Amino acid sequence: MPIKGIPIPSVARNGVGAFVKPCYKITIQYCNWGGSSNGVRQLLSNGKLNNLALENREIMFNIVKQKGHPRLTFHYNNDSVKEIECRNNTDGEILKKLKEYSQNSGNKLFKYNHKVLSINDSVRGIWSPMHIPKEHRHKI
Amino acid sequence: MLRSSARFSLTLSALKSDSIAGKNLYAVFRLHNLPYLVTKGDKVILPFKMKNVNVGDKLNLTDVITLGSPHYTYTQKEGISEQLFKLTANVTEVTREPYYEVIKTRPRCRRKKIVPVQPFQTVLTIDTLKLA
Repeated sequence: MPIKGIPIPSVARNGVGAFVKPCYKITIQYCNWGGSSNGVRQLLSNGKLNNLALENREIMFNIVKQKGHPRLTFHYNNDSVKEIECRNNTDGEILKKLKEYSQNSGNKLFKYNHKVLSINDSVRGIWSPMHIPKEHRHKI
Repeated sequence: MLRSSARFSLTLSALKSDSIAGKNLYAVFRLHNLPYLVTKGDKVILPFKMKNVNVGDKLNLTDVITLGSPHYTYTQKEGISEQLFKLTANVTEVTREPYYEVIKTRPRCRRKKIVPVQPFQTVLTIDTLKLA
């Protein structure tokens, strides 16, 4: 039987080499009549949203006029969708939310109690007593 | 001076050959004086929101104290010269930790204060790590 090597498939890691922003589409839903959409209406009319869209050209901004409370929907590359309520928020508060959630990756939030997350093999190797010269080995 | 530079090149050549074309290379860099041991492709998860930084920015990490391979290390506590290596990181995510609440109590006071906590998190991905 021929000897086969163990194939190591390459893992696509966003940010190693090229980086693609995970948030690709933002839907802003507002109502033309309701008071809770005041902030969104201000944001649309005072040009602040235009500036944000110009800064983030890789994100598609979709504005939807629909009755009910306003809502922001963020679409991410990993098929996850985040829906954020923004009823009765001022335009500044909504802008803050837009900036914050457009910088997320769409993954579930988690607390990591270490500093570095790595999928590489241990760079300094696994310690083994058998790989030390015989005269330096620990004797019991 | 001559002697030190000769020793310099010797160390790095050993590192170069031992870290198979940079495959087994690691570096320890400092951020706010805290050391982080990284290899290429690692994610550095910082428990704060980095100032004046946006997602997609590339950071050039220059405060490196150690370069190492499985068998050799080169350490300079005051920092290794920038001409000897290249270490860059991409800012890939600015997010938050999961939401939790802290109940604060004061002595001899029967009221409890519930404080919502959701701290920021910045994720850096190590883009390049190589010897010059």
